[in-house]
Amino acid sequence: MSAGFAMPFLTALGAELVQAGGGDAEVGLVIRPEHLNGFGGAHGGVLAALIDIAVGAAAASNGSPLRPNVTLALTTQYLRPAPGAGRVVAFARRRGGGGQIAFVDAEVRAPDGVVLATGTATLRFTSG
Amino acid sequence: MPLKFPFALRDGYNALLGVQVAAWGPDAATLQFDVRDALLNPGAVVHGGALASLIDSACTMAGSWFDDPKLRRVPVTLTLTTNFLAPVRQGPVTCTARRSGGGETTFMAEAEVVDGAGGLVATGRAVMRYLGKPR
Repeated sequence: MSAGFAMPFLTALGAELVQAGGGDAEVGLVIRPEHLNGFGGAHGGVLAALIDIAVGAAAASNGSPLRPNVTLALTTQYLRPAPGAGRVVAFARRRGGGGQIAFVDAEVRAPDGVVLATGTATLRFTSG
Repeated sequence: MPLKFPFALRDGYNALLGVQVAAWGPDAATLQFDVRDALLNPGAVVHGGALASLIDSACTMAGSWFDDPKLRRVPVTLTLTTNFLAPVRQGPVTCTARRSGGGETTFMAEAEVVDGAGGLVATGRAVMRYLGKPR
């Protein structure tokens, strides 16, 4: 599974694909100094990136073989300030779509389970 | 002391992305990064998450200019909407954001991202809120 998501940006960010299958995906990230904003919390872009990775993995996993895709649109809502340390996890779930398009929702949770951010994305498959 | 452009943003995440500030003034900011292997997805184009991050930083800075730096307030993002119009293969990637409305506590910003060939590759809209009271 992981080979299908070999992704330089995921590696540079330090994110890890925990699992993906059947239209669901889970991506974890341990917050480190290189993820912080000027307030000492995780930068909003980090959470948006984590959501983008998770929704792409969720869409790709809804079939075999994996289906490469691109994000057309992503809206992220920042519900709470993100912590400056600890492990956050993005959970993504395909909500609909068809042969060419996928609609996927995601949420990012703090270590204590509190939802930090939510995202909703429209993706398009690039093959098949 | 007047700012000299470009300058690098030193907070952890913008440093990771290699973000430079190319221009910054009242209600507007232009930020850039170069295309590097670390920012790519499996299709060898820049990952949307990197573009969303650049947009978020540019919208933040668009609302962070104050003629008197002592009065500076920094906003947090409430909602960020990003549209990815075209794949990015060529840098530098440049995001120009401007404050489009709002008031003393909450404001809106709009952003456009162009690639090294000058093509429009992404757009963004943000709703942001300042922390603390006006000074």
